[in-house]
Amino acid sequence: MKNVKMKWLFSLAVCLLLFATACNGGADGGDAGDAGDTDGDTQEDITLEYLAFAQPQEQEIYQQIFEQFEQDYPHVTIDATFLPPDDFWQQVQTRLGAGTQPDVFYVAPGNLDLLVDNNQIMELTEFIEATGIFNLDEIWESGIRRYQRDGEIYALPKDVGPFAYGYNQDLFEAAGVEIPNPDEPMDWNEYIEIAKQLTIDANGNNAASPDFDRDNIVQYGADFWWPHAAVWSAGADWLNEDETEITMDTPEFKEALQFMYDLRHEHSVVPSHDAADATSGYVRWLEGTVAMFPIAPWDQAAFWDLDFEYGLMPWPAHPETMESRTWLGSLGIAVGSNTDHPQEAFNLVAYLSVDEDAQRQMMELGLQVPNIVSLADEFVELEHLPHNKHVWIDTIEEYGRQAPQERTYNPEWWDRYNETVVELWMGNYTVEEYVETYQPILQGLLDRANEQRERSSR
Amino acid sequence: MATQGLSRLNRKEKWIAFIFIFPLVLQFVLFLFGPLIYSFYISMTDWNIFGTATFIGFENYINMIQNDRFWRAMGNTAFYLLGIPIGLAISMVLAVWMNRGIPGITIFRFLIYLPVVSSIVAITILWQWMYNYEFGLINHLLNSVGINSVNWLNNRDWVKPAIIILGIWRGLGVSTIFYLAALQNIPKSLYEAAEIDGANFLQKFRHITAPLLTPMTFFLIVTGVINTMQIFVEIQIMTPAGGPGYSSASIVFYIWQEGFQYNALGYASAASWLLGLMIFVITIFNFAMQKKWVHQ
Repeated sequence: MKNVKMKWLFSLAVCLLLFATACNGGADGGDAGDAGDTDGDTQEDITLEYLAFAQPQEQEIYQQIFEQFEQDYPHVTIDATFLPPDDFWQQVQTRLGAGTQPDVFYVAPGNLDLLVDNNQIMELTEFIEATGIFNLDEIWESGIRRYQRDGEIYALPKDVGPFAYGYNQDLFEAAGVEIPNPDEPMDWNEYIEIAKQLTIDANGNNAASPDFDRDNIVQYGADFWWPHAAVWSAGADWLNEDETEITMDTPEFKEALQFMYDLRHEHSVVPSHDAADATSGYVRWLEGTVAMFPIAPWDQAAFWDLDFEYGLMPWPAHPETMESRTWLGSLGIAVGSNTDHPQEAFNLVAYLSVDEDAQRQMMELGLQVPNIVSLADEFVELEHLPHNKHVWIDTIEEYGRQAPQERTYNPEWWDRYNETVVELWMGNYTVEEYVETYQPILQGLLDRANEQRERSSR
Repeated sequence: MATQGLSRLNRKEKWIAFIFIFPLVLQFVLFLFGPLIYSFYISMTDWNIFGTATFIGFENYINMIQNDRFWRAMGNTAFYLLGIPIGLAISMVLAVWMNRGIPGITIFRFLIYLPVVSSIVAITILWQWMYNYEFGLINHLLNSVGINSVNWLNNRDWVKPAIIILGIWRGLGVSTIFYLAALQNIPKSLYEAAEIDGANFLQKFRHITAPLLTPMTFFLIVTGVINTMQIFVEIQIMTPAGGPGYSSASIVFYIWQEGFQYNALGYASAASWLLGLMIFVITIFNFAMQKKWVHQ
């Protein structure tokens, strides 16, 4: 009897011991990098965990930055993980939620407020002021501004993404249309006229011709992607200044919607709803069957093999405001607030954001516009297409705006806008009906986002 | 004396048995039951995954019941359930056919099971191309018999049927193999007796095959409902925004969107709980109805 009990107790003890070892083993594995040996002269060996997403070519460049960094800071080892872009934010959420922050990771401007309010990313201002690696005025101001809150900086740009308007030069020449001026935007009326001449049916008639067959279009004047450029140039916006109101019911906003609606239904210079679903504008651009298309710097490399010449121009402007406007995107690099090595983590962010060699390589490989202002001239002079690369620089400095959904606590209202406005583009609503129907719904969602903000910052 | 000894042995065996199942129980408590209870607590808070969670009682549940999107996602999910009877009918026919020992059956069996072992992501991307409005194989076939193209994935009326068709195709392998196994368990003597009585093929199917397959049908319905209620990947890949007018979004898609896109983890937990509860109720209902139609 006693024997049996002992056996039982023994088995239980073994079980518990195994379990405990298993748990403990996991924990030890986690911070293996911290366990380096130290002597009086060198700093303790540390590991910085870096979580990001990147194209394969970008990853190679980052690898070089890491090697350079590890040479300059021999006590640091970088443990980098590149995730598929679509999984990235969910991974960050779960990592932060579980309290296992990476030391350095990407932050989209739209998530900045959430992360700051919940104390997940570190304020970088004092490090920036003290650092010898770079001066703040070396970086595009518009690239820094969106990572600022209450005067403090919380991230540095990984890149800035200006969307300029591209034109297929071969199609322009074939249609006998003058090449657009890269320094002066054309107005919407001129744009429509040009787009008509560049929209061609199967019989070779263009959209300005009375014989034009709108059901058999083989080449389009433009892609339909227009939202920011149209709304902002009309002097309208989706949101008011302090992001409390949806401001779609202004005459200016409706005019912008009407302009886009007419591009499709009145002038037939952009693909129809079904045609756009079947073949994206991007594919049409590659095929050379659309004459004007939005282009961002990261498209360059993929466009080098195109068998036509192309260039950039400012987005066409509203005839009254004559102000060209477009979306200037960005992605930030931030330091986790719980990092044990804030200084090293900050230094890594600085290398990734402003290391001159790396920035030069990125621009030469056609991955991005350099973050450093002083490289802009060199970038503009690069041999490869597009023509007029300075339009991207102008966009960073002048035309570009931050996307509206980045300014709110979550993008639900924006997602709903995009989902519902399709009904307008399909012709199921008039502009007036659309705004009347959806303004209150979007307002409700914006209120919900603002409620989240309030709860979070409490 | 003898009985006492036996019961002592019994008791000892019980303890040993307990030790054997203990790791499983521990795993269940730590990784399933614990999180389950915790998620119920979260569903009563405004947790956003990072911040502190404030207790708000049943507010999430009340908001959810009043939210039209939630109900639309529920409605869509209910619509997807229509694929189950269609899929089962097709696989029953296939199984009966395959059971008759046709030539080349191995190849056919392989083909029909292939989608089951293929990556769902790859399959979905493939079907996305087949459904393409201009270049898709399906519209191409429709055109060749004089039917106009359908914008499958961007049309409110067609996006759900499109996803159901994909689901049926993907599920055929499993249900056919299960039916085939069940068919092979039906005693040949029953058919022989029926033949002596002069029963034709349809009569045999109606009075022998179909009734004796009901336990398998029951099993496939229960698992089918549970799986369909949780449909997600196809929808996220084919219609990343939940389809035109939210016409393809399933309830799990809605939960994912609320939780991971809009940071409303508390709310998403509440929706998960409601989904779990619904699956539970439907399954109980299925079991209760079992007596009425399943051959015992």
